[in-house]
Amino acid sequence: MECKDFKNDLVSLVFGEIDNERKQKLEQHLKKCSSCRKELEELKSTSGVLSEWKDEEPEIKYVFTKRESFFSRVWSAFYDLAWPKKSAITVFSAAVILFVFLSAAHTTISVHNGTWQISVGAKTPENPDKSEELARFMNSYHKEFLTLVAQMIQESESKQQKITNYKLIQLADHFNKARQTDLLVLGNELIDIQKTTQGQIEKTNQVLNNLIQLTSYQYKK
Amino acid sequence: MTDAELINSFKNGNTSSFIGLVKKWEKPIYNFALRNLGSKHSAEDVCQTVFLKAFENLHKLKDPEKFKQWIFTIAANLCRDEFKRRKKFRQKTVSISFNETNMFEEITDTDSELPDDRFNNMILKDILKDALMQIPEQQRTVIIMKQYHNLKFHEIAKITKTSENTVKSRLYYGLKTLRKILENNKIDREVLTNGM
Repeated sequence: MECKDFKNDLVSLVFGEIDNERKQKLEQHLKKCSSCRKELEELKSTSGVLSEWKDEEPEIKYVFTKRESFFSRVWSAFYDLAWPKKSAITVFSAAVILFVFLSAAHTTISVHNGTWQISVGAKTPENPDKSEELARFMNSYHKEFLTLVAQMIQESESKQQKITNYKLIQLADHFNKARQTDLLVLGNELIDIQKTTQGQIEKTNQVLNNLIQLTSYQYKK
Repeated sequence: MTDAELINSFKNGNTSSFIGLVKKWEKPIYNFALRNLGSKHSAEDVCQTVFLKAFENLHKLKDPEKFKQWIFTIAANLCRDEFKRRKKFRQKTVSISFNETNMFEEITDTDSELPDDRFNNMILKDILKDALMQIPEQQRTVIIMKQYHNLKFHEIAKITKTSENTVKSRLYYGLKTLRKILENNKIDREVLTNGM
């Protein structure tokens, strides 16, 4: 074995962590190898020098806090409180819990004529007064709605009627005007015919007069 | 109480048992970090973080007998993280230092938080601190674990996630490098025994 094969054994020997078999082999090697002996001494010396650096005392202040759950932190904070505050919080918390419980249990507390009534149930008890009031309200609302609808229909019909009447009046007016025009035209035509007939009658009368005059003259002759 | 008893007590809900563990292991962990990082401030930070992590994760430790190995693993990892952070910071510092060697040395020395009185070579601790900071981090960690905390080779191997042979090899070369550095500082066992 060569020197390089013993370098690990040298440090093992310096620090006293070497098994007997390796130790014996190393010791045999050291007997005949001055270089390794020197190296062993140097390693021991260096280790000795290092050992002169003694441990120092630390001056550290530690703050350790265990990571706790939210509820455990709340509980710790509560636990550390003074008694008056603790009592007040307890009463308040109890009241809140009771209120939540009663709400969840649909509890109704009422006083009728000086008598207390407490009811607890899975469902909210129906209040007859309230339901009647609701029914009345719904009824009146329904009626009001129907009245409104009727009014709307009436308004609509009335409006439609007015439109129809207006249209009829317009139509009648139009017919009236047309009739008046026709009558006027007819009257003018009749006047013209009358005039024409009058002229013809006058002409005929004149012819007849002339004829009568002529006839009378001839008769006299 | 032994570590195992304290750990079991802690696991059973007795949080104050952890104080016993802190009292017992605070000094070794602090000194491990101090020698590894060369700075009291960083060592205190690491030490606090180690125990904080231990406090949060102790319930995960399956074998209480391996507490020493477990807590040193946490410490070693945190020291390595801190060292990486410094390295990154050092690279940034170099980039704004115009690559001037002297300036670089000054800055890196300041960054590595060597002792305030680094020029006072009469103090052995400072020389050793300086020497340890000059060797590779992996070798330094192994040396500190073995020299000052007497961890077994197999424990160091598990902590550093290497083989026992690698641990021994790092120890060997680390000590040899240290020897050279100390020789340059004219420090040897004889000088120490005769006083500086």
